[in-house]
Amino acid sequence: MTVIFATSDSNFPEKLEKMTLQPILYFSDLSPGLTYKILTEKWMLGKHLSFALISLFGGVLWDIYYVIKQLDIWKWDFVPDSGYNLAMTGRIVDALNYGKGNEEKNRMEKTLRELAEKGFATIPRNINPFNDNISRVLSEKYIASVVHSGYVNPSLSEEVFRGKTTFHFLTLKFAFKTLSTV
Amino acid sequence: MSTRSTMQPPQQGQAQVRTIRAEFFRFINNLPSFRFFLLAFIAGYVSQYAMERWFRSPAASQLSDRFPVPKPLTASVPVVDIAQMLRYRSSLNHFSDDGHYSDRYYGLLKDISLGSNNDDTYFTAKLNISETKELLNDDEYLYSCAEKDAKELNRSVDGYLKEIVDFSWKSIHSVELYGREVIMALLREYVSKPGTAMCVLGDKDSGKSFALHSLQSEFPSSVLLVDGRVTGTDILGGITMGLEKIVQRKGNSLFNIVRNILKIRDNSFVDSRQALREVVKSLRSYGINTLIVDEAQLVFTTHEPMDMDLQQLLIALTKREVETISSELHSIWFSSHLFSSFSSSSR
Repeated sequence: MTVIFATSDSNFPEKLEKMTLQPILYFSDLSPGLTYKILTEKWMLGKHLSFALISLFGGVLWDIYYVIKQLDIWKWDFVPDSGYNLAMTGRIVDALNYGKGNEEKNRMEKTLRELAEKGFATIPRNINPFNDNISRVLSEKYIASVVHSGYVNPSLSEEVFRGKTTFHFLTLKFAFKTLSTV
Repeated sequence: MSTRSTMQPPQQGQAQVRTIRAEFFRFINNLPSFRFFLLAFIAGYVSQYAMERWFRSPAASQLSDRFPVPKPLTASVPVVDIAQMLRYRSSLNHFSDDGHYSDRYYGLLKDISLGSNNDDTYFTAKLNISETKELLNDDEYLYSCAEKDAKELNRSVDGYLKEIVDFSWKSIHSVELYGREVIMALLREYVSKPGTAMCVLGDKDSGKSFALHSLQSEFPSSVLLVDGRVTGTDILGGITMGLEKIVQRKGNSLFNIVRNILKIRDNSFVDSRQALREVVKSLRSYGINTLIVDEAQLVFTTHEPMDMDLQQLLIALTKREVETISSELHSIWFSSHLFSSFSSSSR
């Protein structure tokens, strides 16, 4: 038989002490080109709104659908940042407050800032991300995933790894929330 | 000629002007705030003049050399370049001739290559924080984009928005799966490949559950899906529920599976190894070759030994011989957990 686990907790494979999960498939955002195609051809959006939505919310169709609904309700008064996934702000604040010393606190802030600006943050080779407190907190609070180069991931570019085996990965919406919080 | 004759009599109009002027000054002088404002203005002007004279004097330069003004430690007030902001605003929504946006804000996106599904890499290492914040808090940005689209389509903005809400709702609630062809092909391959324990990772709302439900609908009689959101740690209860659904769908042909499991539930004296063997055997013998555990982190919430044994059960499912695990599964607490799982699912 085949057993397939699905989870949002990127540390999950390491938590199973007796099981080795192989392969690991990673679902990331849809690519911008495909998202544009879906928005214009299936959802009948025009090009201006499509580009604006992809720029702000990446390739997460559920989020884009939610924003379109809100825009229809609030019209001119709709601010992209307001009323959108407010719980995430709390989780990022929690992560910022985490740390058992100045060194850990500083590293958390540095990692969040790097995540916000680049979309990903590489993990130094001397740190095991699955034993690392910063990685654990980011993963458990669904802020960023730990992605290993060995994962099957057709969407992520090789250049992201830049010779590193693991990195934190962040979707666009998390980047913006992190930006407005850090 | 007398002097009297040379003097002109006062004109009536001039007298009126004088009267109005006098009334005006009387009114102004009676206003205390005006007096204060006037005095403050004069004092400010004089003090500014005096300070300028002082700072230009050689005595002031000698003093500043002896006591230099310390530099601020942090820049507490952000410097806003209005001209740059205006340039940025005007660059929004600018289409180039070949249909691509140029000089356009993309967030984390590098570029959008239209019509391409796989070759557009979209990470940038240079997200402009101030521009991003500006855009995120702009309450006109998205609606103005909708207006431009509506104008091009000769529609009202409200009608356009209503229409796209309808289309997007239908699309998002359809069974169509976008952009996961590679992953779905792999999943299909592993459904028919025995002896694999694998994992599907991804952020929330990335479409994992949707993809796995699609997989189950493709193979309704051979794939069993257990949702951790529903079952919690009671994975065996979840398996039973999933089997019952298959029985309902298939009629009476799989009745024996449920009957066997119900028999185990009812018999409190049954051996845990026997129960486990029965579950695994039932799944296999009735053609269930894939077990999907969605939201698996809710099934394994602790690092207690109970979790270890659940893992052993799942390892057993990926192996051909059930007996390989039987020696490890006869501790008392596992037995109690197993049957509490069954009893809770039966409740």
